Amino acid sequence: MKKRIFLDYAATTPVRAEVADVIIGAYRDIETVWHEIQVAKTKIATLMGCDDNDICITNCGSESNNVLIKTIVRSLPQDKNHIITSEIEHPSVLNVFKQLERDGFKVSYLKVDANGVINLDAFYRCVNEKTGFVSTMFYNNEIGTRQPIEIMGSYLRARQIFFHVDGVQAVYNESFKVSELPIDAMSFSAHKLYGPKGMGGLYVAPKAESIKRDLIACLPYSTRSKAFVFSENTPYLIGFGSACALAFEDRETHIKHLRTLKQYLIQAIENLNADIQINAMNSDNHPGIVNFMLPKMDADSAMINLDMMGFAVSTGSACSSGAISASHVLMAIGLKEKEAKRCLRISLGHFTTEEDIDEFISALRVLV
Amino acid sequence: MNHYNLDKNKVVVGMSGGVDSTVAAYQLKAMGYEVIGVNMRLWQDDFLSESHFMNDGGCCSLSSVEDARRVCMQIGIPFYALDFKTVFKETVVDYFIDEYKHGRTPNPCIACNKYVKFDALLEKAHQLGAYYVATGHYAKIYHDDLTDRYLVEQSNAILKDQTYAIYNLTQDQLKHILMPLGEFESKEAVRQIASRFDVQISEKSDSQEICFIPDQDYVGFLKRNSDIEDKQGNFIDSEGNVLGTHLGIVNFTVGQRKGLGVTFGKPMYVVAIDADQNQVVLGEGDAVFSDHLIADKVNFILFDQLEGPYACEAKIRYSAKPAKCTLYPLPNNEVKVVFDMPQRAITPGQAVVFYEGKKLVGGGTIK
Repeated sequence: MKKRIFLDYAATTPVRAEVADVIIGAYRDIETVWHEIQVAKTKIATLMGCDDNDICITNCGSESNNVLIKTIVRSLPQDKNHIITSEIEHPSVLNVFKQLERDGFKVSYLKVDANGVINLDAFYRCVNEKTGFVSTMFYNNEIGTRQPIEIMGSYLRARQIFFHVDGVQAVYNESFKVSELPIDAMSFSAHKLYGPKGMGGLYVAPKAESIKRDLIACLPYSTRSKAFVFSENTPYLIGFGSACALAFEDRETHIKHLRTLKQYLIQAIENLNADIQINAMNSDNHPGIVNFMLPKMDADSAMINLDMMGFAVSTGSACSSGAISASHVLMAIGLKEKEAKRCLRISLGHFTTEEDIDEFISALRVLV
Repeated sequence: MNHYNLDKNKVVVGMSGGVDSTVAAYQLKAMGYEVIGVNMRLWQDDFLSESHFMNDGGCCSLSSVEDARRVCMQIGIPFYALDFKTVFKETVVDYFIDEYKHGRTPNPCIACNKYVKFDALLEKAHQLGAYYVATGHYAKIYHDDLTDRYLVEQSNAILKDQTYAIYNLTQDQLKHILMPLGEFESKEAVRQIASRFDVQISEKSDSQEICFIPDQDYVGFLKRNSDIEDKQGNFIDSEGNVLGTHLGIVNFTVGQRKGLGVTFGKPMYVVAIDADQNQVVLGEGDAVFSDHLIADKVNFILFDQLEGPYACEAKIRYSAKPAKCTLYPLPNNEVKVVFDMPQRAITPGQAVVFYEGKKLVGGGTIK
């Protein structure tokens, strides 16, 4: 059988061979030492650019988002019942805000422009004396747009409003130290950076001490007691640490690799001259995500055709049945439902090569 | 329709995970076709998906996706779930609601076949390079060389025949449809083949009910999904005398006797529903019989147009026996149907479908 070409790294990434070895080794060694767990957490903290104590471990990025948001809003005083997010968030944020809205919170969903960027003027107008919490994503998972989190964070910090950033697509794909950003919390995930699935993390800024205490009390992999570590998935935690250490080592070359490939892909798409429209073309977009609209074929048909030709791509918005519906993100940047249903997401990764892209472009040429 | 390179050996099969579609897919594969299984996501009633979480939940339930996925794996064909919710809502559910609003009794399966299965799904099939769409319907479609038309004939398993629900397909649609179950002599023969696969035969009801209302409470469905509400009105007789009070016209269909909510000392039937006046006309037994009807939106399969009076047989509902009649062409794509014997409860909104022996002549919507 022909080698399959994976172009869906924004959905998940393959575990690196070195990481898999570490995990298997840790499983064989039942008596995982306390020390190794500490080392893993240090490796994670190093990649994130923060202190070990500012990292909480969860079971995935979605859990990080869920648990952080719910913990924060519980801590808000009565008169701070206004919370803000954007309309292009991941379901694990958006649906939590919708639930909170039903629970009585006043929720604002920030609109984005045609490139998927939050309108800052609208954001400034939206924040008021009742605002207690803001959550937005770093890079959008479907169109790769980067939000102006530094500007938003500084504005919120001056008003002492808690600011959470969903950094699931950002860690390893941009060089930053989270402790130097004006944000109070960030979610991230191991399986987006070539680590195991079933592992996520939360950075919580040192000053949010009480929030951190609440989180530690309800999350696994806490360091409260050594007795816990033997019942938890410590091999994965160690693998997570190993993936972070490898990521920290080659982050700059990784990002450069992605940027080069992305440029190569965009050029190749444009050379097709097939009336393909690339969505959200900003210079500071995610280095590995390209979202584009096909001239006539529906994205689900294109995905099936590509699947049968040996390519894994995505639209970024499958429902629980696996069927593709029109993406709320694409509708938010102004596409009509019919147009949104013609959009494909290609996401590049560590193991993508120019030859992969060449083959993908030949397949795409057949479809358009 | 877009023009793609279509492969006559390639077919997309609509898969519910049930007996019929499973066997259709298996037969086509055995015949040498390249088969792609597709489960159509049509409708999600939030009310039902929450309260009936563990239920079988009709063909739109998540379990049907998993059933379909499993049988496709066993047959050895690729499987995909595809979203058709928007087109289903616009062409089937909205039509269903609108008909009830106007006091008519809709037939959503016919609309679904015309606009969803053999239009939207066919378009997807073409995008996948497949010339054909196939389903587990019991009907025979073939090309007649003499007239150079695609014709439809009742299935060999006459009790299961579903030609009633496809009378309004165009020649261009029929050209691209395969219905391999039409050749089977009985449902039993189909079940026998299905038993090779992991199909939950016993649990799936024969899907003759409305798939998007798995609890069959269509009044509850209409109230949840439209602005239709129970508005009290009058029962009247054919002279306009008020006989009593009804609890909303959506609760009634022509020919209905039970569940009127009032008793009259003699059997009374719904003869007509007047949505404009919010009235329900009742009458005694013989009042629900009539020997003629007018049908609109007529489509013919056997020929292009009705040129003059035409003697054939007609079914006024899915389960009716064909009755002898004569068709008379009217302007605006309508026909008058005159029956040899009066028919009971000719129901506006339902389809009247014409046959000549086993051959499907055509049909229309009862006005």
